[in-house]
Amino acid sequence: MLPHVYDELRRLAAGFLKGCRYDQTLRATALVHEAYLRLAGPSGAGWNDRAHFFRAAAKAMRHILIDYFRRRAAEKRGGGEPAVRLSETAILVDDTEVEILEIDEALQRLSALSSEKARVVELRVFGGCTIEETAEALGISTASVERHWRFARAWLKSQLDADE
Amino acid sequence: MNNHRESSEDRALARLEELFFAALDLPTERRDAYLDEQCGGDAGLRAAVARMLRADRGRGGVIDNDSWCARRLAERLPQGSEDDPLAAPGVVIGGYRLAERIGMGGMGTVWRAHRADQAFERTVAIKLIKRGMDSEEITRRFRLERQVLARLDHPHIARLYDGGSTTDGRPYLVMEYIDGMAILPYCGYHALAVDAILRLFRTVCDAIQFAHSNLILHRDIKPGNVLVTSGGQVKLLDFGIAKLLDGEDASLTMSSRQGALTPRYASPEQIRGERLSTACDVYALGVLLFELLTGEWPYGSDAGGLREVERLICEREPSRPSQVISPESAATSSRRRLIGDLDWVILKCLAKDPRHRYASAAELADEIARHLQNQPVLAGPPSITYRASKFLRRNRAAVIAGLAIAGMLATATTISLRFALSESHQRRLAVEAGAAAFEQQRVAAARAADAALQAEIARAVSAFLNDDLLLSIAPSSEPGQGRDVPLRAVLDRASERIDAACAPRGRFDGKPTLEAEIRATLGDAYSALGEYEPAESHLRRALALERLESHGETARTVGLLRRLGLVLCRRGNLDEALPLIHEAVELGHAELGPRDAATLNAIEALGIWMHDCGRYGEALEQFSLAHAGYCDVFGPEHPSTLGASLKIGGILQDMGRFDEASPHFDTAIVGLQHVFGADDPRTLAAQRHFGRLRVDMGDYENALELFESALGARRRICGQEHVDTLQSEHDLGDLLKKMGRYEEALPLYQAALDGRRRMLGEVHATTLTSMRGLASVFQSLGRFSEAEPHMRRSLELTFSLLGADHPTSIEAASSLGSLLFSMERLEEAERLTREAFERRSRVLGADHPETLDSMNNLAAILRKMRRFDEAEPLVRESLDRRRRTLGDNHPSTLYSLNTLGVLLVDMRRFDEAEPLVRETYERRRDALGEDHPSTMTARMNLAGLFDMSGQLAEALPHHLSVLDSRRRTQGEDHVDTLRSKSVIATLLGKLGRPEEAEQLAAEAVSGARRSLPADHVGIGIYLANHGKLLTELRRFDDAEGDLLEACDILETKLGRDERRAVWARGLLRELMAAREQVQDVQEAVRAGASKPK
Repeated sequence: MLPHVYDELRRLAAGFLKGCRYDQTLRATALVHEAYLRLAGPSGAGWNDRAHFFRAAAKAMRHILIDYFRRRAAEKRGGGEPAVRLSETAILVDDTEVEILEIDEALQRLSALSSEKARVVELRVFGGCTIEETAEALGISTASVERHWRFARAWLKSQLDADE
Repeated sequence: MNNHRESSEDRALARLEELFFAALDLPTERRDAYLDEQCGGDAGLRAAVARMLRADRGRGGVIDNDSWCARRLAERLPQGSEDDPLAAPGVVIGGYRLAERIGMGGMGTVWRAHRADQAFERTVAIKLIKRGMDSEEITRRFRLERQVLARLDHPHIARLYDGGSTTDGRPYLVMEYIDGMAILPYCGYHALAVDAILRLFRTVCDAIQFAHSNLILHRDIKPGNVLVTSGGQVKLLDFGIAKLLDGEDASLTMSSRQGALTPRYASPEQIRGERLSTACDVYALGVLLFELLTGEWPYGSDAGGLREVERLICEREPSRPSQVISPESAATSSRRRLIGDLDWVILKCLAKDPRHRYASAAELADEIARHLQNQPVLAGPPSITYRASKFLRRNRAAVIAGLAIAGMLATATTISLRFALSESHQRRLAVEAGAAAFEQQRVAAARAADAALQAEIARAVSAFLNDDLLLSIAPSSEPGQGRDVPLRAVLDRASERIDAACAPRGRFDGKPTLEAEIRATLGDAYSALGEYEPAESHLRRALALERLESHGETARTVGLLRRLGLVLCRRGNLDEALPLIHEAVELGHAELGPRDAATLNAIEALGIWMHDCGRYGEALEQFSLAHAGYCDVFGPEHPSTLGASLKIGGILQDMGRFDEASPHFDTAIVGLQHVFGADDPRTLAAQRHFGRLRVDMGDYENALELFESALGARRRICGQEHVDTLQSEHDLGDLLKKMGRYEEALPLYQAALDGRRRMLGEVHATTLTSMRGLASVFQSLGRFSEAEPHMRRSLELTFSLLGADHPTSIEAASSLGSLLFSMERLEEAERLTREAFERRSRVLGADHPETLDSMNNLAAILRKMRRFDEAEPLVRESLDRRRRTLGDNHPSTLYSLNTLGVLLVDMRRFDEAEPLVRETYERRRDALGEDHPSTMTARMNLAGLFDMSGQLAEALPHHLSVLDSRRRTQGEDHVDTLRSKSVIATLLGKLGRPEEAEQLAAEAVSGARRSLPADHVGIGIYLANHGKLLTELRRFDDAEGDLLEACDILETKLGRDERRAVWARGLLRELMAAREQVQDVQEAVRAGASKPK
């Protein structure tokens, strides 16, 4: 299943990133939700449950975006091969992208300390999931998600600050 | 990680968390004291908690958004007028309640609104003018828009419902609400292919044309005004500054409009404030199309402010779209379409002088339509070169592309091939052909000491291909030849010219580098066409010249060695290929490094050589090595990486490791779809391989779907007369034949054969393959008299083309052997098969899969000839060798196992046979499933074993289960189903259940009459079986009819003395005897009854 999610997300991400260039009225629907609707269809076919999907999709999304930005960053530094992954119109590397990369690195460190907290962040940041959806995806209570999220958020931000 | 042991890091995190939340619970002013107390001397811990508490308070940054993407987008959306009490959600205007601001332009805001009185449900878009801009002039323009729009009733133009003024005198319009996305993001979001974008764009042109014919200009065409609904419908918005064409308001110019116009899309005459015509919309359509296809603005950066933008529009010549496309997007093959015509079409739209543009949107739409149909467009220079390139593309799109790619790979620089196509087109072709080789060459070229020489090579090759190759077949130069110039002829002509040019005092005399370049190009082109003989001679010469050069490029030498090696493999000359490929690998390793593209290509070539030698395990190693290298160097989605995935999948398939092969094909297909699009020839080729895997796995339904869709796609993309389309027809024919749908397979083979004859000539390897395919389907249909001449002709021509020792020639001989075997001409079959076996042993080696095929086939023939003692050692040897080289579970191993089992049954050595037959069945069942045709055959054989050894009750359930599978998967009238029925009928007869038996036997006969020719041997046999059962049931008259017909068919087809003809006559005699006996008894009874007491 994962290849299909990956596939769909990549297409969505490519379109989305391209769309970012233009001042248009594309509504800000989270990509992952969009992908879920497309992949699962009205009956939700093919997935054990939404939770399963969101876990997979958030991971895939993180992978896609990080990979993409890493290439972009590398190109900006003057190295790297042409990006074929997201092959449409190029976008500029901006601070947001740099920040995303930093978060990803910090997230890897967090993951070594607490994989559950890291998964909460992944779902929230890369999966665009709400607290409730995150709880559903991980099979834990919303209170736990809230607690994990608050801690992880502060921890990650303090890590970024410390890096500076 | 060990879950049972808590590390110090875990403890530190837990402590951090505890302190963090405890501090949060405290009032801010007490936190410091608390932390001092808790942390004691641990300053690091204290600082960490403090930092986190600070971070917890702060807002902003990526992480503070559920979806940063959404946030990121929101940042880029224009900000609304902050304090406009009138324009806010909930405000009622003209009976509509504003719900959400959905847009913002120079003149005001656009809102989604709902009918306020709830009387009926209606969502509309309300355009509300900005405060501070509500001048008389704008108010008047709004009134104008209202009148204008009311006249525009068109499915692709948003309707105007109403309009008026708010209480404070601000005009508004109520319009159709379009739930859509602006066309630019829409195309990106859906990753539309160029064709799809062009079709959308045509609809835009149509809508604009409708407005024009109503004397209305749009004058503000831009992506934000062209929406596409989720259903794919185009809707044009905002004829906001349109005015009547009749000129009543010609005074309205740019300067007086105060920036209402979007300058990016404004035409020069709009900027200069000149009088406008439909040409200004055509101009804006041109800009739109430019952006849709390239994602860029025609004049480079538009970051320079309004004045600068206006200056650029009026003064700078636009870029050519094809040159703007970034290398990444060029990787999408569909962008290749963006050459020649589209450049010209767009540039014609963007002409500074309105008179030089298309006269109307309709004309533009027609041009787009022509381009989509691969017809020449009106725009552009009407040169020979152009027409020639168009001509070639229409006729031989993929072959030419292959040619250009081949040429590109062979040349030393980025600019060497003109091919009558634009330079940027070549660049993209090269990128597609494999950035690997391209990059390599670019770097090599850059390093080259003699830049002047490189340039000379480039010019010379370019000129040669242009003048000597392409123009020699331009339609205008030889009108008589029309569309049917075979590519082979083009190349032959080019070959003659290069020979002439290299002769003493010729153009290239004394310029070996030039000659090498061109010969390499021609060699690759021949090779791409499957013309290996001339390919070899050109490549050989190129290599020889390259070696003479003291400062030859290593990468080029490695490439030539590899390509020549591969051509030799294709020619079946494996011994000669090896040293070349070895040298390529070693030279690459030594001088370029193991990570170099040329080295990796050479490793892959070594894999191909090993595959051709049947050394699958080693081939797999090489392919995996190449794949890992490509993946590291170029990334997982690079064409070379994906190509290597395909090869790995293919080799696993050949090794019978179907389940492992599948994901490799999957990866390759998904990747190719991404990189090149679903309709790209490479994607379709990968799907074809995957389809063949499904065939091997016995998943015919799935394969059928794949092949049918591939054929459809190729017919659509390449047209009927195209080598790829013909290959798809051949594939589908193969599959239908396997499925027993012979009548459907026949026309496909026939079409593939005819087409290949026309396109490639009769004496071409693939044409001859189709000829054998056609013969084999005749064979399956029992139409031997038609099969034989085709099979023989294919064999003769293959021999003459490739020589007697080429693997394909041996294959052709082998196929004829198989046909003769079916025709029961066993002596001839034996001779051919034995010869094939000997040749294969010699050419391919004793362990080669094809050699073992021949060995096994020979055993099967000998078994049929009842020369069991000769067959047994052969089949045992092939089994042993296959077990050793292919493993116990390989389909070929199981084939040998099956043959041995059956042979032992024939020899009535049931005890020895049973474990073998059972093993065959069980292994196949486990690997392929119960319903796979091979599994069914094995199970039939197991049942047959029981049947013959007298264990009738054991046999029946196996037979019935097979019949059930066959009915389900192959259908009621498939020949295998019929055979099952007939066999079961016989068995039921023996089990003393003649009524059931007779019914099945009758079904077999009627089914055979439906699916086989009237005089097919099968029908004869089923009739005989049925007749026999009828005899037992004492339905003598019915039995007599069946048996007479059976004898007639079998004697005619097989000869009077053939075993089965004799058997049928025997049945007829038994019938007569039984009838006489019964009559005698009856007479006796009658006589007895009439005898007086």
